[in-house]
Amino acid sequence: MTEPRAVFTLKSMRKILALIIAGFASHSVHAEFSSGLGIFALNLNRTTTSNTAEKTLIGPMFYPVIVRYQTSAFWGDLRWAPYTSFTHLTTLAIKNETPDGTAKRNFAIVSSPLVYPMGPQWFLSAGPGLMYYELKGEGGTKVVNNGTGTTVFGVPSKTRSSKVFIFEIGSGWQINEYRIGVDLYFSGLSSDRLSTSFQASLSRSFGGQSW
Amino acid sequence: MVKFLGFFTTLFATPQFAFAFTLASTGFEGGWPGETLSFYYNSANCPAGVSSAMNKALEIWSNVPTSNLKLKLGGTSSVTPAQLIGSSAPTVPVIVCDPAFETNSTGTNGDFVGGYGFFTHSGGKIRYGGIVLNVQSGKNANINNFDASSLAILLAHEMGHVLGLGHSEYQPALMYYDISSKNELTLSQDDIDGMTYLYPRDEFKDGIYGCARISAVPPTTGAAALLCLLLPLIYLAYLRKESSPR
Repeated sequence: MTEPRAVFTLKSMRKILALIIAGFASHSVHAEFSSGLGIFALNLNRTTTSNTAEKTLIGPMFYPVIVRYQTSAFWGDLRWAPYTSFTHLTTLAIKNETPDGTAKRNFAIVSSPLVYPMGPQWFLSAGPGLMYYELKGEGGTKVVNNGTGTTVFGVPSKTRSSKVFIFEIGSGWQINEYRIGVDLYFSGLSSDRLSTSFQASLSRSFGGQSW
Repeated sequence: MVKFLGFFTTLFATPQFAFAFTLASTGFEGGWPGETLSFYYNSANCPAGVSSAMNKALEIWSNVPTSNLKLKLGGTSSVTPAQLIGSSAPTVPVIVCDPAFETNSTGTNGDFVGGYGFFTHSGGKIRYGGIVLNVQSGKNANINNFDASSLAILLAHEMGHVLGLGHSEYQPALMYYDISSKNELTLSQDDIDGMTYLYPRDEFKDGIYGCARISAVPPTTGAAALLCLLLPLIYLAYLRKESSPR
C-alpha cells in the first residue's frame, strides 16, 4: 500500500487560505468573510464511549477554527458560502488525541454550500464538500495487558489520512455581525458506511454586508 | 448461558501494534494487501452460532466510515487447526474451531481464552493469519457456553487482531483486552482510528462512495436523494427571483 500523503498540512492550508482570501477580497462590497470557532462531533450514534458498548450519540469532540467566505446574492437570494473548518490550529491549545495520548487526531472540512435566506436573520444551506481525517502516531512501543499477562505492542509512527466526500445540510442565524450555525455532514452516502457528523459554530463577520 | 471470561491473546503474532489502539506488531504499519479481504471458515466442530456471529463481525469492520477495507465471507475451508497454527493453510485468513485447543495452542488456558486471532507479516504487509476458537470440552471458555452476542463480540475482537490491531487501553474499545463487560457489538472511535490508520480511505483515489469509480457506477438512490436536497434551495431562489420586481 502506498503511503497517503498529507495534503492538508498546516503550511499548505495557510497558502490555500491566502489564495482564497486574495481571490475573493475584491469580488463584491456585499460579500463578506467570517471566522470563528466550532464544536464538531464525529460519527453520531455510531460509536461507543461506554464500557458496556452501548452506542452513544456523541463520540469524540473536536474544536475547529472556521473561515468562511460568502458571496452576495447571485441568483434570486441564493448565495454561495464556501468555508473551511479545521482543527490544526486549535490543537495547539486543545489536544485532539486518542484516549491514551499516543496519537494526534485532526480533521479538516472544505465545503461549498449554497445558502438561502428564509427570513431576515435565518438561513438554510446545503452543498457538497470534502472531509480530511488525519492520524499522527508518535511511534515507539507500549506494554498493554493481554488478559493473561502483558504484550509489547507497536505504536503507530506515521501520519495517515482518509479523504471522504461529504454532503452538508445546515441552518444558521445572523445576528448583527455574528453568525450561529448548525450543520450536519453525511459521508458514505450510498453505502453501508453512511456516517453523520455535526458541527455547531459561532463566527464573526468582517466587512461586507450580510443580507 | 454464562458470560465468558474475556481474555484474549495473540500468541503467534510477533509483537503487537496499538494506539490507544495499538498495532499488532512492531516493524509493520500496513494491513492486508488490497481493499477486499475474504475470511474462510471451517465449520467442523463449530457451534451453529459461529456463522451468524462471523457475519456480524465482518459487517462491523467493513462499515468503518474512514476505512476502505471491505471484508466478506470467502467460503468454506477444510483447513484444520493444526494446519492453521503450523502456517500451512493454503487459504487465509481462516476461522477454525479447535477441540484440542490447549494442546494445539501451547500456553493458552481454555478456561479463560475463548479464542485468539493472529497473523504474520512480511514486507510491511500482513500475509498470513486466522482465528482459532476454543471448543474444548470441559473448559469454561469453550464457545459453546457463549451466548450469541458474546460470540459475535469475541469474533469481531479476534478479527481485529487478524486485521493488524493490537489491544487498546481504552475500555470502551472493542480491542480492549477484556470484553466481558460488553453487551453489544459496537466500535469505539479508537477502533475506527485503528482501521483508518491501517486501511485509510481515499475517495479521490479509490473513487467516490468507495465501491467503484463514479464513472463506472453512478451514485445510487441514497446519494442522489441527498444531493437533491440542494434543489429546494435553488427552487426557492428561483421563485424569489421571478417574483421580485425587475
